[in-house]
Amino acid sequence: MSDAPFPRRHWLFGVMSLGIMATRLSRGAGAAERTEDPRERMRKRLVSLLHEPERARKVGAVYLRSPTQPLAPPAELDDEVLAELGPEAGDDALRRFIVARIRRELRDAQVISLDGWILSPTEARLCRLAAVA
Amino acid sequence: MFVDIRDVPDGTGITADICIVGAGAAGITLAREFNGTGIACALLEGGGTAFEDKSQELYAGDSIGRPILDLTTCRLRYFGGTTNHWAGWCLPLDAIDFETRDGVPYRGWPFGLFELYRWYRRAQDVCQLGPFDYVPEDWGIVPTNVPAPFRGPHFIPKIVQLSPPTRFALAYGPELQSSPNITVFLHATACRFETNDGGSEVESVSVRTLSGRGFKVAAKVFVVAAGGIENARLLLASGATEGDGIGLGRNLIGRFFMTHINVSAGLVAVTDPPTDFYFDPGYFRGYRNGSVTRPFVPFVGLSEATMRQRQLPNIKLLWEYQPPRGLSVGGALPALHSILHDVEERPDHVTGKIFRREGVLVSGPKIFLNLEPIPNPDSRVQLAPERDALGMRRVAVDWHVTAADKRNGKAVLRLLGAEMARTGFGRLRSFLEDGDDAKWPADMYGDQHHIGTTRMHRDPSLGVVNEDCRVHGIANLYVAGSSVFPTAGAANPTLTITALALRLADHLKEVLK
Repeated sequence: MSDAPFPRRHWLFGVMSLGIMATRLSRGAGAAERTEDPRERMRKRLVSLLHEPERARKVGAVYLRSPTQPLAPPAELDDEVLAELGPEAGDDALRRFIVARIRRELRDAQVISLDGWILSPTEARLCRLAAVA
Repeated sequence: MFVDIRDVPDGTGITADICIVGAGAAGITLAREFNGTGIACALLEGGGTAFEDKSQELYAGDSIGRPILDLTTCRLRYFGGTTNHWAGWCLPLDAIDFETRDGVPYRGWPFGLFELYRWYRRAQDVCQLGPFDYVPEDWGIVPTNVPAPFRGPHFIPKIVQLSPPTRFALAYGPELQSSPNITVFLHATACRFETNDGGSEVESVSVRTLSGRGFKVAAKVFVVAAGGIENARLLLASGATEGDGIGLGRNLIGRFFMTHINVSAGLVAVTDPPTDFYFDPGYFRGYRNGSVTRPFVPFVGLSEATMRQRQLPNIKLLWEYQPPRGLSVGGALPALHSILHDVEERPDHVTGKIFRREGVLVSGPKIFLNLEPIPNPDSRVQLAPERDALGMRRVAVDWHVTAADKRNGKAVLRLLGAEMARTGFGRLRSFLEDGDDAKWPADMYGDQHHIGTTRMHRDPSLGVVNEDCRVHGIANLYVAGSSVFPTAGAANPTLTITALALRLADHLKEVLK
């Protein structure tokens, strides 16, 4: 748990925004983005899934400060997605992939606790990406 | 007939066919079953017919483990026992509560739920309840109105029926007073069972009064029905060496002490703040069936399939709504409230609950978790060195909860949080911190349900009493009450106590034929 105070209100909005993050998608990538490092580009695309990235960033910051780093992933989320879908996956495929992961984790109660809030690991890792972006 | 034993000449010998120690829910229920049978029944009550400070003080004891509710306030030591202030919450144990479980030692009863059905039905009448029906739909709860996370597969609605609550002394005292074959001895504290030389049979029980008199009550059959802690205390005090206990399972007497684990366990951030909490678990409601309105309380429990698959304990989940500004409300638990306050305050309490019922906009209800404990031999009732005014050693209660209990609580909350998120209901913040060494929230407490200290098992190496509630190795000594429960489930125990007392009465009628 973080020692730094983190207003509950931020948590509420940050965490609540996760449930509808899949409704927000960047519509296509521009030419400049296509020249970016694929991993960096994927990070941006994943963060763009978040409805309220700024609040998610705060949740992710707590994740990063967590001394136990719950369910520390073997690989970064962007790497996993790239490995699964490849860099050219469309936005719909990306959204479906992430949503399916979150649903599967929640269905199986594969969750983590961040400052007590119960999140799916994929949600938490999205927030972490937002925090380091 | 009621007899104040202080008016009986010192040393008078008393004989009966059956001697019952303790006039609470179990003892009174048992005694009533013998009314008019011709079987002479002596019912020993340590107190009088009303609260008395000096008598109540005999309940004082030490808490040497995790603190428990004050032993002199969570129990009542006069005719009617703790039913004089109980809140009246009634429900049977679930079938799974009777089963053994892989990986959970000491679980399981010698019989299943089905065995108790007919006595549960009769217990409904004793506790002045409605029909033996705990199906939420039959109480007006429309499944489609129950919020998604609580419609299964893991979390489901359940109900508690509310007894008026039955004050056993008021409801059944007159019947015992006019009985031709039952004598209620008041101010008669049983201090020790005297056995034959081989220790295989109880010959008498020694009785003392605060006024300094002593008696022996001889009987063919004895039943200890003095409560979950006092049952163990009396059996332990009856050993060849005081404190050793009697019977083949004497080493287990007092062990496996359990109470339900109660904790304000989390906060819900509801996705849609004006959520219609039609189901609103935890609040008093009435269901009109014909001309009778039956009170009940809905709550959220785990499905048996989920408990089996995920190795989770039984639970009750209730809401603690954040009250509207300016509204003064009482404690979150009616059961606790009724202990802290006199019964006359109950209507206000109920009004407060109803005020916060349907239609109130709720954005952040807290989750109150009532958790079944794991049977633990190291959690126990022992005799303390100090003695009470009658010369009996006081109790020292060494209550423990384990890291496994905490893991269970956290697992329940993780599943709940996942289900709330999955269904879009909202988000849960758990108050149970990660790590086995993490502390429980400061408001965690064990309730007044004292369970397990004379546990039932067919094997005397695993139980104090057998499946008939007879003390292993002693031909004529039985135990009634929640002390015989091998597991606690999540049910408030009085209905099961009453059902087991009725079952024991039927057994003893056969024994005494």
